[in-house]
Amino acid sequence: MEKVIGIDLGTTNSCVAIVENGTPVVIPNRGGYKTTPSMVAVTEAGKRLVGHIAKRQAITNAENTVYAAKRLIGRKWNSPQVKNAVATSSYRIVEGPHNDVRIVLRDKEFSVPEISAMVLQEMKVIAEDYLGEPVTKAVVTVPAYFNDNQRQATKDAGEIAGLDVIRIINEPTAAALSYGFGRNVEKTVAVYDFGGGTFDISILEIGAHGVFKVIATAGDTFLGGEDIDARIIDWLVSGFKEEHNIDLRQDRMALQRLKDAAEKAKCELSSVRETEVNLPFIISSGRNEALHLQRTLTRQTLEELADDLIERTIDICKQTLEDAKLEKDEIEEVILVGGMTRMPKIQAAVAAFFEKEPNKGVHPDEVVALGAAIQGAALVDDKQEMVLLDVTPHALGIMTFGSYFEELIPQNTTVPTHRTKIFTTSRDNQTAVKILVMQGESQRAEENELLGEFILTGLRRAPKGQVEIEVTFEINADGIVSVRAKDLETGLEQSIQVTATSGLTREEIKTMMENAKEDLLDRRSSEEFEAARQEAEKLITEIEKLFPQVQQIVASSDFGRDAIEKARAIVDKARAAIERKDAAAVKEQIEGLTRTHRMFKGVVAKT
Amino acid sequence: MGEKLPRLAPGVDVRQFKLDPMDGFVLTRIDGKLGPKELARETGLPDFSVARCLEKLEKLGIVQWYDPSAPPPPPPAPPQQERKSALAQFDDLAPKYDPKLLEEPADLTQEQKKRILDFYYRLDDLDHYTLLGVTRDADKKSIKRSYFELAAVFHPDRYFKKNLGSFKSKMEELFARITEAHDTLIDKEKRAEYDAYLAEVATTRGMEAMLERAMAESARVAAEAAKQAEAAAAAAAPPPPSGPSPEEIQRRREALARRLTGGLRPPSAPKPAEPPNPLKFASAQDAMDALKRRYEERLDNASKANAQRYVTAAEEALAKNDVVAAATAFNIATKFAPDDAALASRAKETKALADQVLCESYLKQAQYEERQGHWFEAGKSWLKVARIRNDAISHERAANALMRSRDGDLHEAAEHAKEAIRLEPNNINNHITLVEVYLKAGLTVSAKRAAEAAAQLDPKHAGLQALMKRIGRV
Repeated sequence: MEKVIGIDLGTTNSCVAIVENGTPVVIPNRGGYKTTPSMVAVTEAGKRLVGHIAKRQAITNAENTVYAAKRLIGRKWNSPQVKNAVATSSYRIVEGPHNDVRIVLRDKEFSVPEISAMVLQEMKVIAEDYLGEPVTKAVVTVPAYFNDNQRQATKDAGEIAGLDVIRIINEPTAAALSYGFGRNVEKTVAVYDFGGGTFDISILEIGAHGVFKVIATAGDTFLGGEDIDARIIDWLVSGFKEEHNIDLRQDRMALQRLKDAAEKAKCELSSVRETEVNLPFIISSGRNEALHLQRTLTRQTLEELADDLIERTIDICKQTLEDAKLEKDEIEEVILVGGMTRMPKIQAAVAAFFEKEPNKGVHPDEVVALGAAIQGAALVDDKQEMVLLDVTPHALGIMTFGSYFEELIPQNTTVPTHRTKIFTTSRDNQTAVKILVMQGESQRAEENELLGEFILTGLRRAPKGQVEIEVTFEINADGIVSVRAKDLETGLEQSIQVTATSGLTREEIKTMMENAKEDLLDRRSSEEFEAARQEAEKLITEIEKLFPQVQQIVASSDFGRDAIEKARAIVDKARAAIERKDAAAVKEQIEGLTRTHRMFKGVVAKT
Repeated sequence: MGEKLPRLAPGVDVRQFKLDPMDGFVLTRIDGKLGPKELARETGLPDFSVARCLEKLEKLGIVQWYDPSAPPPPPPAPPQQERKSALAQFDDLAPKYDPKLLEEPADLTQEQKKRILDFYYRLDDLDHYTLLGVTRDADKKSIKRSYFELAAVFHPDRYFKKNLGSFKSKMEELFARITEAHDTLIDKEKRAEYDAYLAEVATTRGMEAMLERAMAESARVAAEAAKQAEAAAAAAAPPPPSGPSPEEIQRRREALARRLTGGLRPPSAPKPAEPPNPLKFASAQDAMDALKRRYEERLDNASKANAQRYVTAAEEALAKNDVVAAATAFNIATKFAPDDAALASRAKETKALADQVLCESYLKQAQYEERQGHWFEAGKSWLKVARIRNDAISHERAANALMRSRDGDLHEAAEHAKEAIRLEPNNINNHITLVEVYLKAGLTVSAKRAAEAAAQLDPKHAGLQALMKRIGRV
């Protein structure tokens, strides 16, 4: 049986593991470290460096050393996250030919998957050295909140590195697999994963028969330890500017040193109350005089700097619990994953929110790789009694008339799954519909990620709303999405398999949406009509029942006769609207019907 | 000693029995606390139906009678033993699939194949509860446990990159269904909605069974009346009747009524007054005539009393707003008093009301099923609506749903599409549905003929034209 390695491709550090004789173990690198920095550099001589060795030379070669490439993977050039990275990174980020992101190292452009592939390749070599045999299969983890484009880019990176990525799984899920593996527990657990670049929260059910079911997952792909580092850098830079009126950001080497120092200080403050940031000869002044940076950072200051970021993670936890329809006390275990969870303030915030001391039994840096290895073994080894029921982290749907996002597969749906909805044409004599496949949570289509598009033609010319199109979404166990649209009248069908796109800009999407407007589908209004009809008919029946009684009571007065006449008119109008199948008109009449009904009941009750 | 009550016999898996829906419906209400009378009230079924169900269930060993005042039975076995494995629930039942299917080559053991087929070919008969092998009142925990047990076997990852042949799609369908069942049952709101739907199904099934029985019952009554008339005719001619005497028939009938009413004595029919002394007759012929008269009088009185009994029952049911029970009772009453025109019209009216109630319920079911994408079930529900309303639209919907369901009967779909056309020949949609059904069934020639008929209505109809093109391609 072929061995499958599990790789935690982290923002700052990566880790590789394998299941040996039924036990998952982390494979140490040549230096004996269990994690390897996710850093890549190219030396002046053109030599490529990965891992610790790249990190060590980062200060002297800041412009040609890439860190945190994961924050850029699968993103588009003009996304705000990339803009932000361009401003704060010591290496050069440029626009690629497909509105993607490229990184320049020694005048050579690399795509982000290529950079990640170098890290993956390093992890592959570490495993091969340890096992003494070639390795070709891997399970790689990604943040739970990664969208399809980011997942696809990660898969591409694996391919470039010569790895067959047999499955991409979510980091918090992997952590839960590692926690529950071989323990035979039945528990509902929350995994709070605060890593270098991303924050994730997942709620899982660990059940009998080795089943792990993800109930809900959420996160923020741009919220991590790096952001806390950036806050420390800001604090150092602004302090230095006050003192010397020099912006350290202008100097890439100084920036890299600051970054290093910030990360170190942050880590130290997890165990001590204050630490000194000491960077001699950080820059030279205008008068060619060397300046030093020396400041004391206390844990309290750090906590103040990070406070709103921590608050944001707690807000996401709250939302996820709601999505999972669970109460806090139904969470039986809280697992902390990711380097940031070493921070005492974060541990306290998590404990306070879940009203429970988090589990400290798992190693926050290794647990994800271990889980990936477990999943890999479970897939290829029949003897492994484990199956993971994962969910789709984002809703999937199509854009409908008026730029609305109409969801077909909701967030947190267990995969594999398939869903079908019926739509209608949105304008008269529409002969084609454009299906824009989207992913995201916003009701506004343009705020979601576009995954693909196709056109269904040959529709019957008919007034709008009369031609019915059945749209089916399907996600298989490998997470591949396929979409099918079918004209229910003619049986004509079109479908695509959605492969992540890496190309389109927001502008392009916008123009595309603009152009597609004519050809969009509409939500089926018959459901709406049916609901209105039922309500209206119920009211009409009630009113009719009361008519004779009311007539008897009030017919003697002019006012009463008038009221009865009016009531008759309302009922007739509502009936006519029902006859015409005019949903809007029926809805309009419901108000009048309700009023009449209330009045009639009042009259009858008084006597 | 108190009154004995029915309760479920422990350790019996009811799925192994062939029960009709009414039995099943009554069974769901048996909780060891309700007697036959309360059960009748709970189910809305007449006493005699409940009594019959209980008799059958007792014979099958599903239900036993016990004395609630007797000391409680020893504590039940530990739950692990009592709870049957969700996965193994069909192991001992006769397979519902073609054994040839097991021969398809796949990287699966014979055991695994059997399990997949056992579940797959039962999907249409299983609701969310029975699919997961849990009871109606199962808590979240046992639902999850069952789901996990099944998911561990039916999740496609268990057979990663294996050759599964046609088992793959079956397994995916199974996984989707158990997940739907789990997700519905652990969500309070969704479960309530689903329970309401199931209750709707159960009551209509109970009603259907009741109506069926009522039909059989009235047929029996009519047959017996005919027999008696024959007997009476025979009595008129010498030699004296050799069949059962009127007294014998009356005795038998009362025994039947007792059985129907669950051992409760029906309000006894007024006994025709016996002449105190045998009269003297002028001739043998006179004697014979008198005998015949007396016989007919007695018969007539008994019939009237019987009819009255059912009318009373019907009125009681109406007072409880149970129109279906009322319709049933009226129907039987008319068979005892076939000449009573007023009664007949009341029976007819109530029947129409009952049909309306049933129809509304079927409609609700059909709509829920369509919403959930369960076309097979939706087809069945639309058929029932069509049977009552007999209008084009419900026939058309039925045909449509049958066509779209995974293994709907296309022959039946075609019949209903045709019926829709017969009722509403000028609605092109009905024609188009028929064309589609034919196409799906691969009957190109019939499809073409149907399309041509549709073209006479509106040759420019684009949907029709597209269908024509498809026919041309085939």
